Amino acid sequence: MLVDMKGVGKEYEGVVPFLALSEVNLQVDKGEFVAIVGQSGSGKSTLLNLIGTLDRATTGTYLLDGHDIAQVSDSQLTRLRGELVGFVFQFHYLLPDFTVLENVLMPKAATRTRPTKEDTTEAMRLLERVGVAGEKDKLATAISGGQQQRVAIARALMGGKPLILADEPTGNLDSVNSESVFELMREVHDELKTTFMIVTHDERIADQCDRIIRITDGKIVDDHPRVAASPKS
Amino acid sequence: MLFAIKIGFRYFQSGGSQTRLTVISVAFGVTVYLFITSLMFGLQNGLINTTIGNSSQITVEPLEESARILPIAGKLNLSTVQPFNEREVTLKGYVGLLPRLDAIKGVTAVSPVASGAGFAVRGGQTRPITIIGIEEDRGTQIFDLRYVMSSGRLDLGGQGAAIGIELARLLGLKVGDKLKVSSSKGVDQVFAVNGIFDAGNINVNERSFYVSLMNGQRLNDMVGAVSRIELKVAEPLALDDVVDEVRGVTGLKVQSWRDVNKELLSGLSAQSQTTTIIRVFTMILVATGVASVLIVSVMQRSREIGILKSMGASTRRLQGIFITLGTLVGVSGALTGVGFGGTMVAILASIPGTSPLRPGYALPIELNFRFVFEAFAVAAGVGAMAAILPARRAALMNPVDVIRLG
Ligand SMILES: Nc1ncnc2c1ncn2[C@@H]1O[C@H](COP(=O)(O)OP(=O)(O)OP(=O)(O)O)[C@@H](O)[C@H]1O
Ligand SMILES: [Mg+2]
Repeated sequence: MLVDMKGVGKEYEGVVPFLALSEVNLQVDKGEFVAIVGQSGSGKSTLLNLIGTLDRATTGTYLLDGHDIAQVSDSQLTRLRGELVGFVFQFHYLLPDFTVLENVLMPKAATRTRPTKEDTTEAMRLLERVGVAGEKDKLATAISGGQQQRVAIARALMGGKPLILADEPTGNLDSVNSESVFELMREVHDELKTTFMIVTHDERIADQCDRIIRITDGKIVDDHPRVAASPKS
Repeated sequence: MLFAIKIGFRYFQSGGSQTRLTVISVAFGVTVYLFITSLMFGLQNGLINTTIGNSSQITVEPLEESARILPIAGKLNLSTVQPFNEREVTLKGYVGLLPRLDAIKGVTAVSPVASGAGFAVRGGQTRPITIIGIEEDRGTQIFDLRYVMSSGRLDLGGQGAAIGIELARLLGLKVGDKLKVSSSKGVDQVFAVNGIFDAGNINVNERSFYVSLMNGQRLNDMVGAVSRIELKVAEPLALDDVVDEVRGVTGLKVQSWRDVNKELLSGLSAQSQTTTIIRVFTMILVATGVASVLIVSVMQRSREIGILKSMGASTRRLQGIFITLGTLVGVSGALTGVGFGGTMVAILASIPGTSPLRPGYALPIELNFRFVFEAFAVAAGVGAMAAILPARRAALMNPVDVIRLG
């Protein structure tokens, strides 16, 4: 079990505290391909941030790959996150002062003293996989939006992380690019058996995932495997 | 840490005009710092040199005895208290003291002096003088008359004398002329002017009358004795230990230049304080510059910081990025400043006629390796320090916030 949440809630502090998530029970196994859908403001990003340990739950228990997040110190959590979770956001968030290759190597550099030769080989393989190997020495700002998002995916995959969390990864792309970026994630999943959890507004994209979790007002209201898309199967 | 340094470096390179401006302002601060410290240093050295460089730094004199009541036939008679001026005391055992003083560590010159008042007489003219009897080779180690000879040469042998240029003018003397000297002890002697010197001091030029030690002793009625022993030391600014040792060796009255130059010393310490104030302000200039560029940089890069954090970059590494950035701004500012300030100091030191102390000389500005190092270390250090707070702020930022606010 990669993700195991029991009774998880998240209350944001503020003048008026806001309960953004409540009573979330969620189990995700290694190798799943999950979509999270819901209205704007329903709590999708909040859930994804909790899963990715960027934030901590205010109630309930959360085990990530068996580690009880509530029991782990901040610095341990940072390390754990670096080992287990890769993020893809709506905006690529590549570091603009670095080249494409350097950006893909960044997760290694950020957690180690120096990326090894094997790391570079892995990064190049990933860049080839996402189809931007030819741009490896360009600055991250010098490639197209679709390419940037592909690089961001390669970066998230770097180090063979078991869990990739994508928050509206295609939200900022045109439909052609959306389709191909999603395709890419799907293919990577099929090849590497990496777990993907993808927040999306796009029902067509959600429909191509293996499991769809629907959130309304901070609660999981629906959680079901994909209904067979084609009547043939 | 390599990661932090690498990213900090890249941020520095792509820092844009804000970073460049800060580097310039740090450079400016360092330039001012170098200029001021070099000038103060040069001025101090100049002052110290003119004040004590050519004179005795430690002087050994006989103990001033308290007035004695002369016993007359076993009875005390208050009317026979010996008056002060009749008891002029001299150093009789000086010959034995010289090698012992020579042997003291830190003492660079030892010169016995037999001096006293007198008159120089030529034609109808009479001028009051100070007769100074020295051993030529020892005396020149205290004040090298040979370097200030404006005509003739230093030769005190036989009836030879060296006189100040002003005295020569007042009495109309040239090299080779003869004149008569009468001492206050009533001894007369004829001297030949072998050299005329310009000591750069009107008093000395008008009064000093250098003769051999032997002649000085004879004229001043102190054969076999001297009136004082003059010493020079290797470290005139730190001579307390030497003074103590000289006191121990001689058991006599020992005075250092500090005892007689209180004003100079307080002037020097006022200068040092000014320098300190300027140093502090320079540091503040550097610190605020670096801090401002870092605060802006942290704000601009908050999203990147959040992303790095989401990748598992530790707080220490993230802090390291901005401390590297601050250090780089400080160091490159310091390099520019040292280059610029150093050149400026070198140029100023080579323009004659700018000195406020000695007409015709260059500004007494001296670049010292210590200042360069200090300015450099301060700029780099303050740069790194000023980075700490913004760096901490960066590292503690919540990645969720920056990502959410996209
Ligand atoms: N840091 C925060 N402080 C206070 N309230 C917050 C914070 N983050 C989110 N919220 C609130 O929590 C609720 C859920 O936010 P969340 O970002 O998870 O929604 P979402 O489903 O991702 O929406 P969208 O589709 O627009 O991205 C919203 O009402 C939002 O205003
Ligand atoms: Mg969202």
